[in-house]
Amino acid sequence: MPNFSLLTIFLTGLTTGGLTCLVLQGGLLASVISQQNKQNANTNRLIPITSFLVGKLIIHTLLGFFLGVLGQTLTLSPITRGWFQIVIGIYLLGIAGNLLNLHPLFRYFVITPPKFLARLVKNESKSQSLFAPFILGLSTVFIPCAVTQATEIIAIGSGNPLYGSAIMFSFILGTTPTFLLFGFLLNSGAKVFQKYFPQIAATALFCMALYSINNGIGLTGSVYTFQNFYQAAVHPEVLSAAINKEVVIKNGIQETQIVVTNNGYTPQVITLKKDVPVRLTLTTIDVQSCSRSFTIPALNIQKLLPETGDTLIEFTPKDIGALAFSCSMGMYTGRFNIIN
Amino acid sequence: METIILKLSGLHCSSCAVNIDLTLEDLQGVKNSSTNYAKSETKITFDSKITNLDSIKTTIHNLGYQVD
Repeated sequence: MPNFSLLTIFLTGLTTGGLTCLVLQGGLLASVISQQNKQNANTNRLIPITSFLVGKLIIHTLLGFFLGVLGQTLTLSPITRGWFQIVIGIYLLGIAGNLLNLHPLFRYFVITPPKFLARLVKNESKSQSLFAPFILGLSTVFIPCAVTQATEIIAIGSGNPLYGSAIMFSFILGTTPTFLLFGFLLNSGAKVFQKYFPQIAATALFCMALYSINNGIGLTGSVYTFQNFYQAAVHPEVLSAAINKEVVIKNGIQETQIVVTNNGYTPQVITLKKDVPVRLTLTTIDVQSCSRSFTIPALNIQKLLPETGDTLIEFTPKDIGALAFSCSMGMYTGRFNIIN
Repeated sequence: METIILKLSGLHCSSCAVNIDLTLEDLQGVKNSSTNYAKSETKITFDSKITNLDSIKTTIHNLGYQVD
């Protein structure tokens, strides 16, 4: 997953943490602080807040790890993952619509946490021990607000425990400054956030939704992705160049090559003949990005390429038309034009 | 035991719904509270000898929500 999307997730946490998570979890945190102050008037306010936030960060990063593992076991093919990404994107749009109060219908997108878990967390907040804030931070994982749920679904969709932990870590880290701020402000702080952040948060969610849906479309093997529309509009010569290309057949086999870089695949369009076996060589030189994870969704081909080397893939195209290939995230795309 | 359904407004997230239920159930005389966030309504079962509709409405107001 490219660094920019982790940044988007961090920013979403930064802007929405104040609004959606603060309402329930902030109230519990405040009651912990007030209990502490009753016991010892000299207690530094920072200690319970930091303890709470550390607990929250640890448990959610751990959760992200398991969500990534869950995503791995759930996935079968690039097409399945593609549809999953599209559904995630639609869910994010629903959450965004709810944040903006567009229509009561969007409320049905939000999953309400079960009462008994919320009561568990509330009872813990009445404790006077110093350890209580940390336990409370851990238990916030049971009462996620709507945007946290959306981020958890993205973590599942990543299908990778390391990405999953990174996603949850970035999000919760983003929510941390807002909670720290709230620890020092009066109750009126929550009202200030309510005024400005729904629009910012909904915009960030909208961007993540489009990103997710676009990746999903690429993963299902379709050629109708934003990258391709952009290419067709700005660099149409890349697409038309390949249409007139001659097909090279040696000893009854079509040999072709794709050079893989950190930014994608070259060439992006290759013409091939149908029903003739293909030997495709993928050449990588010092590649670290997700382009290493090469897929041809329609043929259920998924291959992890080495950082440097030549990898051979053999297949025989059966259907005329566009056969899309892409990285496992659906970001870097290209296609084989299969002709008669 | 009486059971009433109240239509609420001002619930901007599902955590609000959970918060309402927990706070109402802490109220003396309230046996059960079940708030549906999507429909924005609360179903409350209470003992009319111990508490009344006004106490319930006040509690909800104090949390920052309105009863329609």
